[in-house]
Amino acid sequence: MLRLPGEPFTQGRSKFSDHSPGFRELTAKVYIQVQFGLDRPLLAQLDTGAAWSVLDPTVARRLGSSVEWLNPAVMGTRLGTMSGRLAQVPVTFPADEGEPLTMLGTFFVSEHWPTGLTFLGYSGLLDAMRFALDPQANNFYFGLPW
Amino acid sequence: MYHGPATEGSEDGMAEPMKVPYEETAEEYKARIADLFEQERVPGARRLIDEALQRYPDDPGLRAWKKALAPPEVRIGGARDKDRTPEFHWLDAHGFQYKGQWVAVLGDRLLGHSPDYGKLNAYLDELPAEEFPPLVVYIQDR
Repeated sequence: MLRLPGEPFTQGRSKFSDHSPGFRELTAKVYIQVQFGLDRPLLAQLDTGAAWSVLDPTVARRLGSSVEWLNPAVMGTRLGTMSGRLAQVPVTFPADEGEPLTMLGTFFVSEHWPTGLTFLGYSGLLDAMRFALDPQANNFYFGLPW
Repeated sequence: MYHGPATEGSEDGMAEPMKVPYEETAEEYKARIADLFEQERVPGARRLIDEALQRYPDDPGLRAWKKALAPPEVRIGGARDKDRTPEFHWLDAHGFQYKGQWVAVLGDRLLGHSPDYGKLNAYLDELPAEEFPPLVVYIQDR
């Protein structure tokens, strides 16, 4: 484990899938495990090129009062411009080695967004933590920021 | 000729340009912040929120924007999980049979599947608890 000034670089690790499960794509993608609230873990696509995270509206509905609804917003997506709402959602990165990490992440939620797709974007989520990938071993490392 | 206060003290009676300080309203700030959000200009949006909150510290919409765009606080905590490699192997081998559905997989076992996320979870809630929860995955159909 890399240590910087005596501190571990990351606190936890989980396995990731380098393609959409059960669906062979031509390009590699990174799907990592996340847990929303106390619900069962899901797979979400890691997308550092996306400014914001997007939560599947069916998942948001099930979370009920765990979701804090914020402002209405409009977002340009690869599926077109969509209207929706920003929400703060408790997110845990489960660890199969080390310690899990938890935060209140900001997500865009739109009823027009297709089911099954959750994206973890940079602002309001990934910019709050450290992370690293080991593509040969399909390991996702994560940790507290400095 | 007297035209009003703007020409007072003016020898030629021409009005002096008046500088009227323009105060942006909270609604105008929110519209600009929403535009910056849509354009993915995050640092600019954050700066504008801070500026707006100096003028309108109690505006609930601005405070909501502040909350939405602030980097979240992270802490260690949450459930410990298992290595999900067996679940990924199962999904690679069998997932294609469940396109357009949510599947719940634990190890190399399929616990349930449904096109409806809520119904699948309601079904899983009735099952005896195991050491770890299943991984719930939506199988893309296109």
